[in-house]
Amino acid sequence: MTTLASRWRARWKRWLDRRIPPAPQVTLNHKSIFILPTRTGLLFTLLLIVLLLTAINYQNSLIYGLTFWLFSVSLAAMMFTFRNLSGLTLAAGRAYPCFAGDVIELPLRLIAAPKRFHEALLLGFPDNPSQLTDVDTAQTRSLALSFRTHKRGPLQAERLRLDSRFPLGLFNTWTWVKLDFNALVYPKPETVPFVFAAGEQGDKLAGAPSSVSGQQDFQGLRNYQPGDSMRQIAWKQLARGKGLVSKDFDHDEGATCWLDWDVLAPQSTEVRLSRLCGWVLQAHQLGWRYGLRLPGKEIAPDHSDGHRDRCLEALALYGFDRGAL
Amino acid sequence: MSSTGHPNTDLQIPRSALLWLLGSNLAALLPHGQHLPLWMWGLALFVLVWRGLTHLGRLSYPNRWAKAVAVFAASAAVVVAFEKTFTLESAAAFLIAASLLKLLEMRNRRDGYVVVFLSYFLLGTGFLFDQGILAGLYGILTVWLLTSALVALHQNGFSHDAPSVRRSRRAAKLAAAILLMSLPLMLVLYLLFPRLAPLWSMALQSGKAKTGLSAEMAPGDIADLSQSDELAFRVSFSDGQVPARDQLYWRALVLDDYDGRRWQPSGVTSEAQWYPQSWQPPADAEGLIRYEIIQEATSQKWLFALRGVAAQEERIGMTMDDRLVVRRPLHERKRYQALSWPSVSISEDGLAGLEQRQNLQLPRDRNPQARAWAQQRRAEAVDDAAYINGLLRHFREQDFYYTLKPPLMGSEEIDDFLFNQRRGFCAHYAGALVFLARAAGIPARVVSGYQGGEWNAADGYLTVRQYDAHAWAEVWLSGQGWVRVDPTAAVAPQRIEFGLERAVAEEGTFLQDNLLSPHRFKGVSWLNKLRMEMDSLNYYWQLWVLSYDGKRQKSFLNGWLGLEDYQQGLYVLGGSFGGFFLLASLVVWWRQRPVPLSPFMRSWQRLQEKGQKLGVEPQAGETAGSYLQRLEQHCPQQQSLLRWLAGEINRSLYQPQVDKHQIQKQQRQLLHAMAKVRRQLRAGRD
Repeated sequence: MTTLASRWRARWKRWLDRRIPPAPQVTLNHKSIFILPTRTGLLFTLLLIVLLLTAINYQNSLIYGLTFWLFSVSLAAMMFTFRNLSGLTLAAGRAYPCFAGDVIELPLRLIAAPKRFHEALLLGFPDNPSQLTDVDTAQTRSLALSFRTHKRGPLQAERLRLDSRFPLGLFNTWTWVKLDFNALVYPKPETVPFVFAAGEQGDKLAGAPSSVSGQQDFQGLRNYQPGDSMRQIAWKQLARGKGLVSKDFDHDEGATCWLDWDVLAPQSTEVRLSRLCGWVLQAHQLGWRYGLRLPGKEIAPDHSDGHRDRCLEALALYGFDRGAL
Repeated sequence: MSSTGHPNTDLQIPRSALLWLLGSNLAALLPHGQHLPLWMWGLALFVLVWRGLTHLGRLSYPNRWAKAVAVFAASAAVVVAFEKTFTLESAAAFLIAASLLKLLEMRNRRDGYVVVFLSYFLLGTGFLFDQGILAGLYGILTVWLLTSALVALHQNGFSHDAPSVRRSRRAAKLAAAILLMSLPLMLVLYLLFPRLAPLWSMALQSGKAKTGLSAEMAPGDIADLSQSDELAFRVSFSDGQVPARDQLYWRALVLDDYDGRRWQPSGVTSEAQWYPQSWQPPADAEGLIRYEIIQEATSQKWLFALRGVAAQEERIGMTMDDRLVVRRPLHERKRYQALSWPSVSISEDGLAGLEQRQNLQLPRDRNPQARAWAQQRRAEAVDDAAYINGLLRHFREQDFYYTLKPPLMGSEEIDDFLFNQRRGFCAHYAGALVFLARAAGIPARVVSGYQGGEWNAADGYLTVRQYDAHAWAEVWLSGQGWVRVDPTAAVAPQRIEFGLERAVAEEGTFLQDNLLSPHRFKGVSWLNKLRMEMDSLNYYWQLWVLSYDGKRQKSFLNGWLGLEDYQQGLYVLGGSFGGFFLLASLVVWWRQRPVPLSPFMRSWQRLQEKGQKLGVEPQAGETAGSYLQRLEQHCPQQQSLLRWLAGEINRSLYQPQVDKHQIQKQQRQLLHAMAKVRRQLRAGRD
């Protein structure tokens, strides 16, 4: 059963991919919009039948008129409901990277068709919270859709569902749009103690007072120097009116190390990537200079936000056949 | 594909939609006002106030117990108010109570749907009570309000962009657009959708007594009826041959049974023959009158017709005493054709035994004075006709008065009337004459119906109202058969020639109990003109809208569209649907037609196609410059040419230009340059 269901799902996905191919920007038209009556529409049909029977049995012309008018209204409603989506353009924005398992906020722009007011649109990824929004005439609305990531790598966002019952609720019109969001998902960081590679190079934390990281002892106060972090400032001294002084730690800032794929040898690829990711974040926070060695890729030790992002990107894209973003 | 996880129906009702819902529901209730008990308005007010306060956050929603109590109380109140009778009024009241309670507890969108749909239905049931033009116009307004409420229900209530006034205005505008767009299809359906006969007989009918003739007549009844200006029926004559006013005796009932107080039909002659088996006058008969009647609902089985009538339609029958009847009581307005031959002789060869006996029947020992007087006068007269004429002369010459306020008669009514009071309304005179005829051995009967009517010359129809109700006599004379004798014409000739108003002008009793009736002011010419025009409007409304039934539809299809039968009508109906959808899809296509590219873009696309063949795929969001740069890497031998083109393009795009000619000239140069590069690229590959 499950195989049959999943086969149908796969077939459905393939069909959707052909019909509404993934793109950075999609303008909705009759090819990409689906429409069906809602349960409310069926209730309305019931109302029409009862009205028609009343009209026939009482031979009442005005009830006939009312029935036919409401029937025509339901047909017109189909067109108006369709029009509410038709012509709307959805464009993917560039999202900030996140870690696998986090909720990423995917920026999206909704651009109204000329002279069209798109009202009460419900957008969302399946199993993620939806948002209700309007797009006014000649307006572009930006919003961020939440999407819970699962895997590292280039973001594989699912098709997002956009639907609307506006204006009368008799029909539901919807579309499944796949947008290329161009976002990166880093591996889920795992915090474990550092293990440094043995060997002739980078086998330990070089230039640090202690080979064990993270043990920082208070050494005394010194005058504030530009560049000292806020955490270092002795706020109590400042409050006592003793001027701006910094606490001096026995710190390992500026120490150099290599974070190496090989030291995590028996683990699986994803576990290794997760741990390396955790180390990169820790090392960055500790202020070390760190390098990263992956099979086929080596990033020389350095310390900067850009360096961290490069390392995380390398971890995220490990195994993916794709260049830098 | 499912919509699970999309909380579309559980959404809370947007705040701006609530006012729409309350207002439109109230609008659908209002037409029911005339037949609702007073406490119902109390309930409506209570619900509206409570729901309004809930809206403002002053009160909370009713809890489950409060709701249960409210439902029980409302149903019990409906049952009590209508005394357990099951009529249209009580059904409507029940429906209204249900919609009000739903209004009180509505919270989410699904409740909103129920309220709006119930209100649509309430509006429809309102038409069962009133189908006038004003009711129709008001219905249009209500449909618009309800549709706006439905739109407002779907608006984004959480958006803070637009103030709710603007949002509401948009809802109203959109609803109007939807309704206007549906109008053409509605008209097509209205005209072409097959009009079926009732599928089953509705037991549910209005409990309100209809004003009109009743099946039996006590002398005061018709006088009461004459205080009403309600419409009874309208007549139009074909070929424009309008009979003289004193011939317009609209027969409805034959009352041949007298119990000393009341006249009623005995049933001896009320057996009907149904069209087309019924009697028809010869086609070449002299003085045939063909006419069409639109009769208001009477809840009775009789129709109205002139003397010598023949049924002209299915389901209409003709009785032995020369009247038209239908099989079922008329709860709706009815439009029918009739053909009369007023000069025909009826039963001139003699009456059947039973009929003869019935038309001579008199209660024994009543009115001895009148009986004796009749026998004496008959003995003095030459023949029956002379005797009857003598009676009329007696009424005319003695001091008999025609009055809407007859005095109370004693227990021997006819004696008292003839010899003491001498004041009476048409029913007194008709009753007395028939009594005197029967007492003298001449078969006679009372006929009730309407006499006269108001002729609308501008639009050519006759309007007969309740105050035109009348009673007269028919006597059987050998060789002539049944002959009409109207003693009222002898006493008050104005009644027949000009109508009731003129006949009782001195007395001032015309519509005395009906002070505001416009018919009281026929003397004010502009008011009368306005009234006549309103009446014409109503007439056309009835003619074209209300009485559009299967028969009318058939003649419309045939006469206007040249369609032979329903089958063709169905084709047209199908065709209009097809047309509707075709038009809709044409509009959609036109709205989304591809925008033609500028010459520059066309040329540029062709250049890119060429580049693609050389293996340089254009990328999304790439500028012309960077594409040319990549192309350049691919075909280094054309570097200088490509760089030149990039320069040209940049210059044309970004250099500010004011002069129009300059721009056109540059465009031409650019197109030329691109064409050149395209050729060169081909040459480069070879």
